Amino acid sequence: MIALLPLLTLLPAILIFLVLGKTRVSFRRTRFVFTVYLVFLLLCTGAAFITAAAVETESALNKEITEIDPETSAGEFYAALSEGRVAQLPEVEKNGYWSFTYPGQELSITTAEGEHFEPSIVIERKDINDETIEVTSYTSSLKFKGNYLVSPPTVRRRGEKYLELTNGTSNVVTTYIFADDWTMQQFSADRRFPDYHWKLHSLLGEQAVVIRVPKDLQVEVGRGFHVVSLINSDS
Amino acid sequence: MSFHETNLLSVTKKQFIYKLQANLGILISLMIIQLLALLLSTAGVSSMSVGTNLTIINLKIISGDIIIVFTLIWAFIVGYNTAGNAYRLDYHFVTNRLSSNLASGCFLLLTSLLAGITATFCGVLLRVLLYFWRDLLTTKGLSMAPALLMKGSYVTVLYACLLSALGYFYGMLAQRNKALTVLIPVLFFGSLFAAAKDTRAAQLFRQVLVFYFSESSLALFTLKIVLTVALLFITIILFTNRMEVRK
Amino acid sequence: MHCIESKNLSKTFDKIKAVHDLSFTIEENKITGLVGRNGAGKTTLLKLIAGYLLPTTGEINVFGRNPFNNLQVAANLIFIDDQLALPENLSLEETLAAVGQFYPNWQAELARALLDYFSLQPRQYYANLSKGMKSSFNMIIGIAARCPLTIFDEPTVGMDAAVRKDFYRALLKDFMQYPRTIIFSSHLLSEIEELLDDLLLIKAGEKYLHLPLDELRNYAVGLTGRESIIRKMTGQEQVLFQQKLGRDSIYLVARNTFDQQTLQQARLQGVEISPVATDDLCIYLTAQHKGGIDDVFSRN
Repeated sequence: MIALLPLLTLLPAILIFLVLGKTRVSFRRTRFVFTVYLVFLLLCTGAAFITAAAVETESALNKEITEIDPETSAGEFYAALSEGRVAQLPEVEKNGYWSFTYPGQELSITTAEGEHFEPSIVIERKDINDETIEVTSYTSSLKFKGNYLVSPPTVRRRGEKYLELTNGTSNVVTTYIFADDWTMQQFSADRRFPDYHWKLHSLLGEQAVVIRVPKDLQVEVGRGFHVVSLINSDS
Repeated sequence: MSFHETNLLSVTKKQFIYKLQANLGILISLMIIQLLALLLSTAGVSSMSVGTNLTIINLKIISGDIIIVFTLIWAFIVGYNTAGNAYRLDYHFVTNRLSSNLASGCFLLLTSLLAGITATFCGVLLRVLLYFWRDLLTTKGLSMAPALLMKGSYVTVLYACLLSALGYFYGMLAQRNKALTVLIPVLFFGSLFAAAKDTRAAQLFRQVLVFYFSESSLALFTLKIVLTVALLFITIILFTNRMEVRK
Repeated sequence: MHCIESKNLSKTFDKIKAVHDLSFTIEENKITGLVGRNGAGKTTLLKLIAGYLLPTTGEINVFGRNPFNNLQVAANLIFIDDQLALPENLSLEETLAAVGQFYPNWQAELARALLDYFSLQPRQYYANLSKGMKSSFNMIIGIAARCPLTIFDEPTVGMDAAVRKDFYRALLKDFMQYPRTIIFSSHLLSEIEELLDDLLLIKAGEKYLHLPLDELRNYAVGLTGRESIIRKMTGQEQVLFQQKLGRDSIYLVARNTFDQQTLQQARLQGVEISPVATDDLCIYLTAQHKGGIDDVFSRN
């Protein structure tokens, strides 16, 4: 990177020399063109203000990013999860629902071979034996361009006794944020490069899958799961 | 036949206006260089990635840094060219070395002013462009408060003054002695590479950079720049005063 | 009042004496011609006068002051040569306006009228002009500026004869309307002769002579006739130039220290007495050899 720096400074230098040397623009046209440029920049600044003002009031996205506190939101999520009330948290949304008829007595929950299933799971026993298993996936991830940042998992029945949960497709999201110019940052302590790393991580939010099983179903959880709690269960 | 008495102020003013008219074309090159830098900036000034096994966010950070750097390079080159012009061309009309240097200084001040302001506002243009062209995670930073824009402009103007003065100084040295034209860039770039290693020269070089770039008090920074520029110009005025006109 | 005063002025470049021990004065409001061979030091002298160069020894005063790095002198002086560097981005009329602001006596209408007369388009660019047209433009600036001291160093390079004649006339007319001190250095002495009041002749960096033009016309006389007669009349020190015409006759140029009687006698003996053109005179005066180039071809 250090080696690139002189090269980067030479390139515009060469360009400037070339441009300054060869072409000759008339005096009047120069004045005109540059004035247009100045006016254009000024109009842009106006446009920026107007746009930002219009957008800020509407965008929940902006609010969330500035108001997220990474530590507390994670804690709240898991607390709610273990108490069975995660669906009631305001930032949590349901992003998948599956329902299976399951007459069997035993259930094995597995994931793909050697993988770790990312969302935490909660197994909740219903009060009755209705031979139905309901799986709901929750996320507190932000939506970007209409999609959740984290894709919902897939839930399938496999064979007689197995319920397979696999991670959602991986996403790669490329986006842009603005930082202040170094000339502005140099003198404002409070506008130094913002610590986006933390905040971004929290944008991904927390994921959880709640599996509601009939009362007497025997459930065995395979490897690769992070079990938060078993609700209404004896053990 | 009337012999006209004149004074330094009126001659300097006339020379300043003349330089402005004769060199107006550099403003076009400023514009071009800034738009070019803007184009390069749309790929992001730097980037970072954040994520889990499931999702990776590639974040490209947009700022006006590249525009500012290009503008500062422009300011340096303008300073260098102004020195060449002052030395080779001013003598045709009414001048002495002092008025030539003063008029050049005023000219560079004006160009630095324009350069600093346009560089900062070109950064705004960059952000507006990206807002309409790409999807942003957040619009934070799109509109900067007028106070911040002014502060950014002010700082960039000061840096441009510094770079212009350095360019002018270097240009005048080069007029004096052609050998220096080659020697100084070699020393400079050599020390840049050396800066990676931990030699005494590198230490000194780093200290000089820190002197300006790590200053966090605006008033002190202004003072440093003003003093440096004044020192450069006074040195130039002193040692060019007895220079003859060469073809 | 002396406009220019030089005392023992010398300028040395790398051990070569371009100007050596030059002393002269130039009165104000006169047109002085500066002539000499190539390399005689004319341009160096003019640059010393203009304050572009610093004397090695001796002194030069312009308007009573040292012209080097001097704002007062520069404000009243203009130096026109073929090295005038003008802005590339300004058209001719914009250039005139830009340059004119330096000179309080600037005649904008005159400049414009001259521009039209010499078929220069106001919207043209200086860089696109031919050499002759550039020289025309430079001279327009020199005339319209009406500086109390106006210096022309070979300003007519590339101009054709008709244009040159027009410029001499223009210069003279404007001089009459607004007198100023003019120094005009040119190789074409025969053309500018009518313009000049005085002539300053430089030979090898030294002043050879400085005389009003009418004195110069009578400075020497040309004698054509039989060699024996002419040789008797003239001493060796007087001879400026000689050329064999035939077996017996020569053409000889000598300093005119003769009285009327001697000349009359010579005429009776068949010697033709002719005036010497000033440009020829200057050539003879600054020559290295008394015989001219013919000597190279008649070594035997």
